[in-house]
Amino acid sequence: MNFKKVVFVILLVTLTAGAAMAQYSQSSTVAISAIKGESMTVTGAGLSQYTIGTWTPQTLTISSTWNLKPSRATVQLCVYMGAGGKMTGSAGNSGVIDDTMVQTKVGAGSYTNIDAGNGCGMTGAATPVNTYTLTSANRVVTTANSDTVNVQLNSAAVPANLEADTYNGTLTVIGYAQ
Amino acid sequence: MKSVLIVVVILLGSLASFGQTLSLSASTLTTFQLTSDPTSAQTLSVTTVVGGFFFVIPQVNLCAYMTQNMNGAAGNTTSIPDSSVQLNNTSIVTGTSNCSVTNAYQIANHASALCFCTTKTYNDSATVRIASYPANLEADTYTGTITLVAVAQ
Repeated sequence: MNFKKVVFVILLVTLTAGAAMAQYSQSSTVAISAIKGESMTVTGAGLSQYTIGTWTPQTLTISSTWNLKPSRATVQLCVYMGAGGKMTGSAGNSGVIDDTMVQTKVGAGSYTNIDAGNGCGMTGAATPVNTYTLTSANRVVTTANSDTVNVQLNSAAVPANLEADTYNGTLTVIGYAQ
Repeated sequence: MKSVLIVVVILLGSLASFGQTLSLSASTLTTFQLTSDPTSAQTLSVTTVVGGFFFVIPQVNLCAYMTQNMNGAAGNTTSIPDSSVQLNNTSIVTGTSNCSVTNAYQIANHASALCFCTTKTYNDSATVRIASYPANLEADTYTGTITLVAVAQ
């Protein structure tokens, strides 16, 4: 074996030994985070046109879904017409059916003014329909809840001298999480 | 004489491994918005600096892994599995061992090479996103940790 070969072998051995001895590592961490935002849908349906004089109550159905933070404790559903809310007729017709003439009833209760109750962050301004206590089992609701409230026009309050007309107004349904 | 010199150089290079250094730094990630699946991607930049060698740059292998799911606040029973965290559109949970870590994702592997330098800096990057996460995740902020590891040899 000549000198060059000896040197080559030494090189190989040295490199191998060096590489074997040299494994070392370093680590670091990176924080990763993601947000799933809260969401809620609330819709109302089921009311058709009332016939003034017949006074038949109707059922308003409130459908709701949500995905809420663990820090939320309850969801309350309400309906209201709002102070100053009114059902109005055609242009030139000054007659109205205002919010004091619309009544609601939840379950077996009695009819009261739609804007007389406390709920959904409002005092004396809404009808609370239902309150859900949130748990890990219902913080995410994808199959809509269905809640109902009876709605009628107060026959004793609607003016007897209303002009013959179609009167339109708006009820608001609301979901209130806290 | 020339060969002897080469041997000395290589010997020094190998022996110098005892003083080799390796540092690792990375960019930060902003909070992912779980409004789509997969989420929009972010770029994670990683800088690796290896030093203390003598002419022979060691092989540098860079990997990333997670050891836990991303969890939300107390009371939240849902979580984002670590397997939903993707680097370069591939789950970080690879099912294979990289950088001597089970289920690590290999970001880069720089081969050993000769270099007339004393330090070598590598700038690598990987896209990060969250994909195929549970549809029933509760509204919350989910946090976790990605560990980066560089191995030089």
